[in-house]
Amino acid sequence: MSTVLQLASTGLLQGLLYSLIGIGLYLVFTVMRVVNFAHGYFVLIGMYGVLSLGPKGFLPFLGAIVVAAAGGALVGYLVQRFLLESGLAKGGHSQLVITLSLGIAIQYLFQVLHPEPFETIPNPYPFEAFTSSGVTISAPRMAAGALSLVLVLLVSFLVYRTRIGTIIRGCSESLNGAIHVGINVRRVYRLTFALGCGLAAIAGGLLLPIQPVSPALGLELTIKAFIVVVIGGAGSLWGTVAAGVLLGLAEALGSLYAPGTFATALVYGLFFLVILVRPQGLVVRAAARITPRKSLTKVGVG
Amino acid sequence: MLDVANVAKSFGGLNVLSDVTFTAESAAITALIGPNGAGKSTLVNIIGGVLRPDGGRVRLDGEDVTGVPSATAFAKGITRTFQISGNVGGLNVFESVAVAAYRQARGYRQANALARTELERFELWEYRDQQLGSIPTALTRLVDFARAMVSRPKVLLLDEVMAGLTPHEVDLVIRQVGTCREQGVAIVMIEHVMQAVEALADHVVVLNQGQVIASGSLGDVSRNAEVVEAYLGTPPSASDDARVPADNSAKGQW
Amino acid sequence: MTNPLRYLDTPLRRVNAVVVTAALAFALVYPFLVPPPMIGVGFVALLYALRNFTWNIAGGYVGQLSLSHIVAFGTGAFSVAVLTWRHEVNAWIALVVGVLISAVVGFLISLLMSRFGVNAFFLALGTLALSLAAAGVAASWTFLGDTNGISYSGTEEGFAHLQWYVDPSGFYYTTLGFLVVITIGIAALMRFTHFGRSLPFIREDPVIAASMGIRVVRNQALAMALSMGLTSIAGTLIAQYVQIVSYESVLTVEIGVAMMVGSIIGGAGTLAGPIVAGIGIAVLEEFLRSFAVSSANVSSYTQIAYAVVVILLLRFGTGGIMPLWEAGVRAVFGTGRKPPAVPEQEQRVGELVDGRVG
Repeated sequence: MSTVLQLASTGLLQGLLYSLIGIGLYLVFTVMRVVNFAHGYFVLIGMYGVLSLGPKGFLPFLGAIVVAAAGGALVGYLVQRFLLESGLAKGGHSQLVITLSLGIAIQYLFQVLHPEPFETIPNPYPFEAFTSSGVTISAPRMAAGALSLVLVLLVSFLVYRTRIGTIIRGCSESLNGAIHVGINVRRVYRLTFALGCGLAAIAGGLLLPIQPVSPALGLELTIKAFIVVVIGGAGSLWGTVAAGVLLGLAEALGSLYAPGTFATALVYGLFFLVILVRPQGLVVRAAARITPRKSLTKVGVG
Repeated sequence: MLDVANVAKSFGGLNVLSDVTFTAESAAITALIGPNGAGKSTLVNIIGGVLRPDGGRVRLDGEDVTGVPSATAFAKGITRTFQISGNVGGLNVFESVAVAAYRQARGYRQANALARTELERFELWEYRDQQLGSIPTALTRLVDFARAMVSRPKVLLLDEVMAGLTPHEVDLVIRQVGTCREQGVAIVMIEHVMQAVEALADHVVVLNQGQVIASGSLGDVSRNAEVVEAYLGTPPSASDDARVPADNSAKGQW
Repeated sequence: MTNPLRYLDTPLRRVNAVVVTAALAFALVYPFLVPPPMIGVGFVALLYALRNFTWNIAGGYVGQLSLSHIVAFGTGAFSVAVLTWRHEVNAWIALVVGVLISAVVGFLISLLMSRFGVNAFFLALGTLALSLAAAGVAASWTFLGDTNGISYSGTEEGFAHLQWYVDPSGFYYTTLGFLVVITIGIAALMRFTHFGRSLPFIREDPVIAASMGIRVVRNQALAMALSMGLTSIAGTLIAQYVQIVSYESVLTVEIGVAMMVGSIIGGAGTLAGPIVAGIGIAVLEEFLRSFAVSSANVSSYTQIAYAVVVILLLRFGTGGIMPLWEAGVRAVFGTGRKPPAVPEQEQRVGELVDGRVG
């Protein structure tokens, strides 16, 4: 029984991290209708960024995360500004292939820069593992889960209770309406994309002490981000959080029954089925939830 | 002969069409007119199989074709024209017509021959290698029309084929539509260009806000008070060409 | 049949005919001009060309951006590994089995996607998920060698057994043969059959296509079946050549993406584009190797190069190698047809309703 409890706890905390990863993708998707196949690779940027900075100690670790996040956000901004923006206006599927190729380029860039796989850093936090009623949670995992939750709350606050958030939501609802009211939609898109990538990078930094990094992780994380967004996207932001936690729990508890690669195969297979059944749900309902119910000038409650 | 009976359609609670009934006879041209937003395009989409009605029946020569998918509608002889938008700009003119010719053709050679004949009839043969996006917009209309005609349809749905054409082109298309009628096709024509409606329509059906408010000859419907009111209610820029002449007899059209 | 030379009525077609003839002649004598290791490189180049081309049937012509073709590639490889290496079934039979399984899988995937009204994004994501699932299954199923893969065992040699141990020329010419036959077959399909001619319409606007009597769902599924079935052949060939098959070598996302990206770089929807791009990347890889770049890094650098090129291509909308080639030839030689007279802009009647025209 304690194994189940242990796994559930681990899964829950991992799930919160997945939620954080998913939130960034969710924002980009619902606001900009951009399909960022490179999202998981921005998590990778966060991981390798912190790894390269090699922080010793808690505060340096936090500093490294901030730097890596800024770097990720900057790269995201540049990608949106110079690669994606013109294609978005034209329509078509270029963003799909561009972001997919971008992810691959990032993966192989890190492959060349860090040929050694599975690198990690030791526990940077000022406390050790936490044990209670037969369950042991390592410090990094505890912190990652907690910090992810905090960040999700912050993002939720930003999106639903600030003026910037209203502007962002306005762009997601009606492009013409937003332009009409004088919003610089292009700038909003760039910032949103940067925000999404920055969040991903932060998640990467938090993930590094828990899970050794290697370039192939980018694809796996991208898929997980999509799973979280597709399954959870029907609700509000919090649907994404719920989906993340669900994924984390399913992954942890599933390992009891099916080993390694087969379990992963099952997850992907189930995801395929979800895609068949739900594709409408994502765009239609997500747009309905993220939009303000009041006018653009009033800050509404989501 | 195309029979439309009590067709109704709603989109998410909004009634777009209610109880629409009319008949388009073979070898005759039925003009479907009405202000913008009256539901004409929706009706044509339903007849063509792009949309399914929520109620009512569509019958072709007695056979019920309500709700059949558009490929089946085409096979049964219902053809329509389309506005050629950005996406299809890369397609080839000749191919656009030839692929439709397979309804009547046995194989490659015959389809190509039919396409060639049709393109020559519309004076489009010299454009056969061009892409739809590179030829003048007016010509894309003629290609669209040629594509519809090459399939030798029983019912031809024309969706504003005259809009944006020069008088020479309008005359050319009017002539071709007339020829079609002579071949026994039942033509349903959504049109705002009154020159064409006056020249061609054997029967006029007026649609407003999803309902048939009048039908009969052009003279009859233009004297109908409800019809006049429906048109005068629209903004001047849209109704300039849609305005029906108040007194037809003086023009000696008929 | 009418005189085929009448087809060569524009400079572009004449230039292309010359280039194709020269390339084919060169390809035929190539193995006699180079040392055996380079023949192997030639084989790999043709293989890349072949699998890009077969992807393009569904991906470029119909516009179904599928990441599931890797499953077909893997099926072809595992088919020969299981049937021929383990159970001594003739390799050609294994090849056909691979083709059939892949075709059925492709047909079903396309049907499923159509039935559930899946758009392009979800098609890509769904096929990606499917291929990852397939890789996971292969990695955990001892029948498919789980993580170690299946190694070659067998002694026969020769065309009848699709295996040559010392001289790669056999592989080279077999692949060249497949490439030529498949290319001609697909070209004929695209030009002479209603099915083939309907594909561009399905790609650009399925609604208009349906209204022209095209059975969109059926044709999409058939195209996918054809595309994936033929892709399986490349998998069988590489398996015989490399003599080991595992989920890591034939079911990777990288290969799946490479097929798609290669076709796009070459010019999706063209005949020669995927072939040119495939050969080009093989040349690039060899070029990098000749600079004593380690083999691990070679594949990394080519992946990065691939990615950068396709991103730039899509960003600047140039359409790929073949469209650029055609534009270049036209610029140099002219179009060879009298430009049609543009009608004078007479006074227009009629309303441009809703701005829909143009």
